[in-house]
Amino acid sequence: MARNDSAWTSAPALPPTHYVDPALYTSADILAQEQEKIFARTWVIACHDSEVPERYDYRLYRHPAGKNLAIVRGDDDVVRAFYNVCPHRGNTILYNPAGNAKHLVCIFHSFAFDCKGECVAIPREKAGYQERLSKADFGLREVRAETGFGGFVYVNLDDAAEPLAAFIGEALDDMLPSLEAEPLEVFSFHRAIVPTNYKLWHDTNSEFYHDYMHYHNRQTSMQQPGYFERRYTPYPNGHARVGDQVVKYEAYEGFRSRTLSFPGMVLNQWKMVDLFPGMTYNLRGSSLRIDTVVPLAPGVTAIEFRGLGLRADSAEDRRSRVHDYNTIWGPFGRNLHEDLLGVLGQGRVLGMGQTYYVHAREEDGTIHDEIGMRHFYAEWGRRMGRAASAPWHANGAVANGSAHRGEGS
Amino acid sequence: MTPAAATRELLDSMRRDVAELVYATVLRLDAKDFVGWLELCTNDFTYAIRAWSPEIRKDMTWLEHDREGIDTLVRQLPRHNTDQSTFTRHATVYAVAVDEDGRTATVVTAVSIYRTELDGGRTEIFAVGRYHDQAQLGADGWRLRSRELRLDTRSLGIGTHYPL
Repeated sequence: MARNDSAWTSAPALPPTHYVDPALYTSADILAQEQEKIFARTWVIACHDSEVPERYDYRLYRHPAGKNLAIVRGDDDVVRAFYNVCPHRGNTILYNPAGNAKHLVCIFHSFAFDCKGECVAIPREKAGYQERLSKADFGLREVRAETGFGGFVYVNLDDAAEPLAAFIGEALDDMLPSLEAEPLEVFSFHRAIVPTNYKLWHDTNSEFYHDYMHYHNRQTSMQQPGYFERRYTPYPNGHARVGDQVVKYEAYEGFRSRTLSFPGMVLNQWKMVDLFPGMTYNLRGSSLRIDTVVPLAPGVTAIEFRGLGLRADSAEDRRSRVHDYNTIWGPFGRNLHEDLLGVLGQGRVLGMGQTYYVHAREEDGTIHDEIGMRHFYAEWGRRMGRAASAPWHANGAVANGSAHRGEGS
Repeated sequence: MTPAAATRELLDSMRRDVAELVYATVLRLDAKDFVGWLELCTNDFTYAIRAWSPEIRKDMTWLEHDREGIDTLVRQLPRHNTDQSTFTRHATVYAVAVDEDGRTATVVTAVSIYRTELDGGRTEIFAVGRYHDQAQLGADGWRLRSRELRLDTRSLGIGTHYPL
């Protein structure tokens, strides 16, 4: 039966853990608080260490809390992260997305910094600052950075944050032997800017019920043994792992069984881990896909996709991994376009009267159970100090937020 | 007509024919007539989309198929959920170099690809780049033997299932 406005805007007759207020996807106030309480305090992937392979290599990263960072490999081989902002007059220091620079020199007034963030040159320093200021007062703002879990450079804006290993916990333990048996290398990068909320993308990565959208997955996974036995394992800090499956790629016309795997994996084995608040390790045997999100506005998200193989790949093996990656992922892949089309569709109606989002499937933690999303929003609520089902009311209203449920500001 | 002039005229005629082939492929792609597009390609046709990434400082391949692979891709399109926006290509053939044998040619074509939404007809630039084509003269005239689309644009929104 179709519903009238009252029924449409009423909370579902479910536990509050099983639905989400749509304001979570539309409110600028909520996003501002997410940036302060979540993104500025959690570890997020900035890049992979293969993107800064040589000393003095750098890679820029727009941090989801709204900072512009430079990831720099030092002459001591340590990878550090700094605000990419000159402490003199606030100009961007590095303009290109990646490169190599022994000194980071601001083009504006030629202030120069070394790979450890120390200011090493100020033109006419004594003439202008006398003894009042010196290079020691102009160091870059360093951000905590740790490399691990497959060679990824994680950063955290919170100087007092727990170590990366404590944040990840055991979430990647099952995948780690394959990720760390030998060095990995990025072979593909692209950024999709999509008019949707970042959490909706992470939701898509956190549930498999939407496999009905994917012809490829219906053929190669859903109709194959083991699919409905895949189980979710939730971990502390909002992470979740999806149980493995061996995929039958050749069930899709024109595709073939993959010939390569990551170390320690059975051929065509598929492993997947979602990390709070918006990262996904997606390892389909021969190639690894990493998703990271950068919210640009409540309804606009930059999603960065990386494809990785083994650094020691022969040219033939690399070509095979790239081919496998692109069949379903990459901007022209069969699955990725469909996933992005899904969140685009959600994004088109954000703030247009959407009712509560329902995460109520319970199937003993198996593949179509929506426990992955519920686990994410439990962590979200813990960090935000409010329930995702009632963000205006639980533990206090959102500062300066609209009290009208569903539309936000 | 001198022999040199005759040779020049023959080469000019071949260049025109090759350019017309490129434009014919564009018209059929615009019409989403992918089967018709592939009729303008040889049986050993290869297709690739590549881009240089300043972010990872590597050349990237985003799609690469032989004739069988691209045939399958086209045949499977109706089974997938695909954004149905139209794509319109603005192509300009910049250079046609006919080989000495007069039976193969290398073509560089600048291409801008516009996407127009079905609802409301809003148009945006989807991608810019260049076609690097190899053409071959056969019994049915000039046919496309390979196409590599080198994209300058790397931020492609939700992407697409369609060959560009």
